[in-house]
Formats: sequence, structure tokens, C-alpha cells
Amino acid sequence: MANDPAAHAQDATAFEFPFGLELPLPSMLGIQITKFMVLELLVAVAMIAVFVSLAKRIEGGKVARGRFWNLWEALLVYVRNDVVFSVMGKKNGAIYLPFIWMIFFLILFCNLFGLLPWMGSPTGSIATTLVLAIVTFLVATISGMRKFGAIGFWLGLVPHIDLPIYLMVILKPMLFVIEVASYMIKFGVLAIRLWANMFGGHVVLAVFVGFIAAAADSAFYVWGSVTIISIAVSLAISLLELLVAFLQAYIFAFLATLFINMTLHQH
Amino acid sequence: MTLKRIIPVVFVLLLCAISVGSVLAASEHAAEHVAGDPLAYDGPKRDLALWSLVIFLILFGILYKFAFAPIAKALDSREQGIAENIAAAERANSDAKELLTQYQKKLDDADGEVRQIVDDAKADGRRMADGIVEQARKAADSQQKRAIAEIDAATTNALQELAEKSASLAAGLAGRIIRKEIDVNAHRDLVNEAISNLKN
Repeated sequence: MANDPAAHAQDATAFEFPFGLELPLPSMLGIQITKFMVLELLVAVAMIAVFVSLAKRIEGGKVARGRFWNLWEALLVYVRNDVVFSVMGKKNGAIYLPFIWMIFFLILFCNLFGLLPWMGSPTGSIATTLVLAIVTFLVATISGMRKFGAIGFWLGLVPHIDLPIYLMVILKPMLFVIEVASYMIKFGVLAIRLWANMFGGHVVLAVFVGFIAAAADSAFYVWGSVTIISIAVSLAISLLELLVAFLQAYIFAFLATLFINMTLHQH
Repeated sequence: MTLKRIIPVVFVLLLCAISVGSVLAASEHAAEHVAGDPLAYDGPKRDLALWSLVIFLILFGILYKFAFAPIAKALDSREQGIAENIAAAERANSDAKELLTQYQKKLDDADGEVRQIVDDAKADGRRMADGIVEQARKAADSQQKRAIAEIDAATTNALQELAEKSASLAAGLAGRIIRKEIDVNAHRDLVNEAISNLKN
């Protein structure tokens, strides 16, 4: 265990297992393979395993049997009805539903992998969350541009105001800059919110577990009580993290839906 | 290609370029101060970002084709199926209700009919009974009248016969009295004889 708790939550060049076992990751074609890259691959495999199988099970409107499949179906239906359709309506919602599902479940799976022993959350890296935010930005912006025209969309970001022409000349460009900046920042915040939550949660966990290592050289009763308290607190925080894993996936997906919907309905 | 079609393409390419560029820039200058653990990887995050993008695109392609599109379709068709089932159930329910009211009406009609039949039967029975009683009374009356008439006739006959008999007796007695000038005793005997004859 590193002295720096932040290091625990970060990407690494090896998987660490108990008893000092390590699985170092190679460097291929000049690119260092990292823990998060492997985890993302595992996430992809897990998602394909779950959702392709579920798709076969409910094909043609059949009902899924068993708790495991109903769990995923309940989440799918929740995102569909209470996030996408309730914001966008059924017509537009049907177009963007697969994308929002993808965002929600990719984030959820990445978050949940962080709760498995010796694994980690790829969403704890700003690189991953930034990519998700950029993809969302592109989907929203391209949707808006398809609807209002490539230039019309950007001009439409500025709300319509009735002003004398001389004020308009000064104000409109300023408003344009502000609106475009705020439009971009919205998506940037998506990335930062998710990253900060996942990274922060893992750091807190690492801090509490780190107390045990810090007290290792103390008297037995000190180390013992620190250990008990640390494990109890980490357990409680892990439960909180489980909630945060779902919550952040929901927030990202919900805001992505709102932002896409906003580009489809300008002022 | 017209200008109208070129502008969006240029815009999208520009957006993509800016996006990728910003990721690269951000990741190159990512914080490099956290390096307590020799295994912690804080090198360029560009690789992870590009890897995430590639994973996202490929995974989305696969899931869209084999999972999300079929699942969306399945949910739609299930929803439609449920809606149809509900509609069918509602139709069946209203049909059943209508049938129920029909049967209820029929049952009510039949009930009324039965009551009518019973009432008619009762009335018929009463009428018949009255008729029978009336007939019986008439028969009894006529029988009584006939009996009375017969008795009257018999009485009249008897009286007539008595009159005739007593007349002839009286005549005979008178004749005998006249023929025989007899004493009081003979006279009494004659009368007694006549009375006993009459008694017989």
C-alpha cells in the first residue's frame, strides 16, 4: 500500500494482489498498457455478456426470468421511461435511448468495478470521463446542428432580445461568447463531477485503510483498535460508494439527456 | 457538393478535432505531482483517453446492434402487447357485462313470466273451484227443489187418496148406516170398523 492515498485511486501499470503478488502490464508498440485500459476491456466484455444475453431473453416482448436478468431489465426500463422518455418524449427519446443506455451502463459498470477487490474504477480518471463528456457533447451538438443548421444552431444559443440596434451590436457578440462558453462548460462539468466523485470516494477509502498501515508499528492495542475502526468505517464508506456508483451514473445520464434535449429545443 | 452540405461536415470535423485536441492537451499536462507509488501511472493520459474512446465506439457499435436496439424493440413490443392485452381484457369485460345485463334481463323476464303463470294458474284454480262450488250448489238446489216437489206431489196424492178413500168409506158407511137401522152398539162397531179400515 502506497503512502499516498491518491495513488490507490489512480491508474497503474500493474494489478496488485494480496501477499505482494503483482501482475505487471506490458508496454505494446510504445504504449504503456495500464490497469484502467484492462478494466475498460473487462467492462466491455461484461456489458456485452449481460446485454446481448438479455436481448435474446426478452426478444419479441418475452418476459425475462430470474433476479439477475430482471435487475438489468429494471434499470434499462427505468432509464428508458423515467430518464429518456420523460425528458424527451417518446419520439425523440427512441432515437437517443441507445446512446443514453450506453452512457449510463458504461459509467455504472466502470464505477462498480471499483468496488471489486483489487480492481479499480476507470471513471476515477479524468481521461475516461472527459471522453464520455466529449462524446455527449458531440452527440448533443451534432443533433442541434442537424435540426437548426450548422450556423443557425450556434447563433441560436443566444437568446432573442429586443434591443435598439446600437446596443445589439455590442451586446450580441458578448452574449454569444458567454453562451458558447457556458454551453461548453456544461459538458466539462459533466466530466469533472463524475471523475471527482469516483476519485474522491476511492481516496477516502484509501485514507481509512491507510490508517492501519500507519499504525502498524504502534503498540498492539493501538494497532488493533485502529484496525477495527478503519475496517468499520471503510465498510460504511464502501456502502456509500455503492450508492454513489449508481447515483453518478444516473446523474451523468440524466444531464446528458437534458443537454441533448436542450439542443433540440432552442430558445 | 453544395455549400449547405459542406458547412455541417466542416463543422463536425472541426468539433471533433477541437475535442480530441483538448483531450490530448489536457492529458499531456495532467497533474504529475502524484508519484508516491512507483506503480501508480501518472504518465500521459492521452493513451487512456484514446483507448476509452475506441472502447466506447466499438462497444457502442456492438451493443447497439446486438443489445440495445433489440432490447428497445422488445420493450416496445412488450409494451404494445400489454396495451393490446389490456384493451382486449377491457373489451371482454364490457362484453361480459353486457351479456350479464342481457341474462339478468332474461332472468327478470322469466321471473315475471313465471309469476304471471303462477298467478294465472291460481286465478284459474280459483275460478274453477268457484265454478265447481257453484255447480254443486246449483245441483244441490235443484235436487232439493225436486225433492220438495216430489214430497209435495206425494202429499197431494196421499191427500187425494185419503179424500177419495174417506169419501168412499163415508159413502159405504153411510150406505150401511142407512141400510141397517141398528143400535148404538152396532153403530159404534161400524164406526170403529170404518176407522180400523181407514187405519189399514
